[in-house]
Amino acid sequence: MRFLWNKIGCHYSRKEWFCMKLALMVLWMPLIVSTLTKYDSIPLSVGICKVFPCDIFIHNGVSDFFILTTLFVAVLYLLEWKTRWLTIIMFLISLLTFSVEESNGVLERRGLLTFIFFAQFLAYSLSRRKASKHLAQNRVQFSIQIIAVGYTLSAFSKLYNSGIYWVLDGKNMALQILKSFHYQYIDLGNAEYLRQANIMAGTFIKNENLIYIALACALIIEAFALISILNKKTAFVYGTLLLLMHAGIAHVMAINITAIVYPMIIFMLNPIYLAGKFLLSAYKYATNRPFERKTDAFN
Amino acid sequence: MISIIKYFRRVLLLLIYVLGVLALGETHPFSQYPMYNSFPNWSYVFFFTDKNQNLIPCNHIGTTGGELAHKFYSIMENSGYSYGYEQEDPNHLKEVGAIIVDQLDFKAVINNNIPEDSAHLVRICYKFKGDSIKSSKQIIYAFSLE
Repeated sequence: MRFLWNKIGCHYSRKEWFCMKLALMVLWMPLIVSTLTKYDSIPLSVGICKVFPCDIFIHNGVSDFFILTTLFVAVLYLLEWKTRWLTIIMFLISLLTFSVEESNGVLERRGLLTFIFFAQFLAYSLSRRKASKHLAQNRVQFSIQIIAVGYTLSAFSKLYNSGIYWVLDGKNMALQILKSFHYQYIDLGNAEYLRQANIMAGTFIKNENLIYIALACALIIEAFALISILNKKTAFVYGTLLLLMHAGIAHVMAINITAIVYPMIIFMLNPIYLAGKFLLSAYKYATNRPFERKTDAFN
Repeated sequence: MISIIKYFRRVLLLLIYVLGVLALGETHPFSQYPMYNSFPNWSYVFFFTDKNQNLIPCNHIGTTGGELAHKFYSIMENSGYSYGYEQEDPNHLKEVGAIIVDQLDFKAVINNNIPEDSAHLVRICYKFKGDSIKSSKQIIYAFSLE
């Protein structure tokens, strides 16, 4: 255990940062492209679309230009070219695109994802040198701050709106479970989801005490998410805790809030880097040939 | 002084975000993330059926069940109409149903049906009555596929 703890380290290497950026682009680009190609009007202007004519961005030619720009800046971002300016461009693209989505009445809660680019812009702006230790730390830590505060605000929202009844009314969550599984049936027309809905809701109702405990745990985990901003190790431990919570929600409620869960996994757990490290160790073990430090891509 | 700046940077972004939420409320990219912040004794599911009451899967019309619900609540809120517990005014439901249908593309569905055929926007409400869950179905808007 101590070995694993020490392995996490205290600082973020350039390879770790690249893996985070890569995963972030794999998440961000398809969301931007699918949103820009999906909507052709702004029926309920909200956010920036109230003060800015967002509809000009979803006209055919302009949205194509926007998509190309998105792909171009994503590549440059991965190459770490003028990242300070790229992050503010990505923030603006994200802001406009997801405001268009919300102006169509679809609230996918992609605010954290958008604001992460602003956080990184600030990290680059506050650093004088491109290769400084502070920059390497801040560009990740600032992103984690945004993710952590999202969870804490969500917990406060539950306490403010429902108080302790958020836990005590937990039995009514069975109605939300039925709804979520029913959505899957509606989306695909597969009646198997209706059967699953009844099984899951039935199990849920029969285990009332377990529900109260699970909901109380979820509320505590969310409320104390700011612990994750202390250092890299607390971020990793808290990320694992949040991942378990989301896995539970996905299993019981068939809900996955993409734009919150994936940024959390990317910045707190860095799965691509972990997978790379694991594969390298496995290869090392299989060949029984220790790597020289110079050729070890993940050290 | 240096350590104060260092610690201030550790919370700088979260302070900016919280201030943004306090100042602008639910305005992208700021949000309190209020999803499931209460568990009322009702939940709604929206979907489309054809004239024979068969489900029109959402993936045939480029949307999802979740999006239909999002649109319903957003339009209701934007129009200042209250919702929940099946207490909505039927005229408000029709009005909102028409707006939702207007935003969707039913071309792919027409291939299997004739354009003059009617379709329905249906709502199921789940709620607890005692210890058991009851569901009730209601057509909130009927329209032509034309």
